[in-house]
Amino acid sequence: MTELFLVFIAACLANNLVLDYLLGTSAVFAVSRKIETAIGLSIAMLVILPVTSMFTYAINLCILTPFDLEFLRLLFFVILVSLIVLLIEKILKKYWPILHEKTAVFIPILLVNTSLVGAVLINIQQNQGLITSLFFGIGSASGFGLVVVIFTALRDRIIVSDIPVAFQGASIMLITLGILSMAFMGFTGLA
Amino acid sequence: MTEQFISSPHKHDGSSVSVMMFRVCLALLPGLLAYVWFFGAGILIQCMLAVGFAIAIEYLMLKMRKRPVELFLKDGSAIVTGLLFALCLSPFTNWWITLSGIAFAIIIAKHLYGGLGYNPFNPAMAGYVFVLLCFPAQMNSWPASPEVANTSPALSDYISIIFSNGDSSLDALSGATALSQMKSQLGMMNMVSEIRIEPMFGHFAGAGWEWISIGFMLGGIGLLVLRVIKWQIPLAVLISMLGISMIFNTYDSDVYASPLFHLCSGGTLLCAFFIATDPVTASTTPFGRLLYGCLIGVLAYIIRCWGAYPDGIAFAVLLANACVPVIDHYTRPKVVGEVGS
Repeated sequence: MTELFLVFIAACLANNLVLDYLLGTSAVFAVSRKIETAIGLSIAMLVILPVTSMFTYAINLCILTPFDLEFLRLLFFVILVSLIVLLIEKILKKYWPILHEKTAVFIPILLVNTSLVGAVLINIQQNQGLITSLFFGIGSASGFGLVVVIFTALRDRIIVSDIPVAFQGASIMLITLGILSMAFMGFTGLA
Repeated sequence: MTEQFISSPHKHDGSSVSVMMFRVCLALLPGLLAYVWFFGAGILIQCMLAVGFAIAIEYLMLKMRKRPVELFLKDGSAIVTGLLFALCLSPFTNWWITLSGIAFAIIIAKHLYGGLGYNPFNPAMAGYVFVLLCFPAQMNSWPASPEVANTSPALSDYISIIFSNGDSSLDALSGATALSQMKSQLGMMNMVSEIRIEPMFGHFAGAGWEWISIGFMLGGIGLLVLRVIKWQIPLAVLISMLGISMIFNTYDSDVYASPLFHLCSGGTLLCAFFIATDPVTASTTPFGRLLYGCLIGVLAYIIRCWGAYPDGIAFAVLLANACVPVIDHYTRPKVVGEVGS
């Protein structure tokens, strides 16, 4: 149990998907300035990533490894992840329409996103077992959601500041993400 | 709570940004005096260096951004940033580390965001975290407590260490802080009660350091009385730090140090009264301030006990700063007539 908790903390805080591995920064930037939208994206991620990481772990274990096809991992997973995301969307639409309504907008963003494929590949390198993969997925998605929500609110505040012309727009946002990443480095050693 | 209505005419009490900053500097005096008393005048050199660099860089940035130099230099915010930054550093820190930290604080954390009033992150803390991440080895030599080192460093020692590179006398004069000693000894499976009898620990925290912390608290209470800072933030930081350390201390007092130890060592009290209360980077709603303070206390404790860094205050402040817009968004008071959701 402690081990699973540590996997969760490591994926969420210490080795945050966005701030430590620099994956999915495009998705962080893509959200508009409303916190509610950011929360929608986080929920979509929280639904998709745990399922995806478990599924790809199983595929890797049952198909790729026995046939010595690990070199195809990247190609395989890019396609597989998109398929799983679309599948989840269909299932949600049928059985959980309220959640579908909230998250449907973000499916295209997440469909071909580095955060998903990257997280899945990291999971296979680091973790053993389906349950560990599940906790890694939940942790990564929570960490991603945390950063998206914090960053969206920060951006809403920064955008009205008196920023020097050369630093307006993307550059000040990248600097902010950098300082946020520095702050998250305080969590090193937690797990 | 009853609302008090005071009718016009109102009189301005003459406070302004520069008066506020001046009061903050004055309130740092008790702690600073205690610092000089226990560890010599090295900290004063560090303060002068940091404030000098801060003013110089602020001047340069204002010139480059074509802002009124005199107006913004006189508000004293650069001086306070420099002072707080210097107080976070060891008095033995090389001058170029101070310079790079201050440069990061004033240029990147303050002026790139538009200067005073716009910066989302506390400049002094951003600068401190920057040098802590860049130069971890140099940031680790703190003056040894007077009970451990036979000689306390003289002013000439400080000057030669700050302005030279790798002075050999540094090793004789420096030692670990109470927090890092506690952390490394706990890592070697020693019990708190065994660690606490070492001569570097005083009555309730590191010898000498505890009184410096108390000095900062006295100054902070002065600020509270003068209403320069709001009471919610210091209270929330202290209560949350006390609360969480008390829970773990009662759970296992061999592994987790006492609440008073956590309160009086490291930067807890300096942070609670001077750093977290920065009006620009703190939350602006009363309930939000409580949440913000609690976040700092809890995060600092988590990083101290389970993280890699002995004192998590600076990281906790930056993380809480980042959360302020979210906190403000959810604690914003309702506009009259707004329908509750």
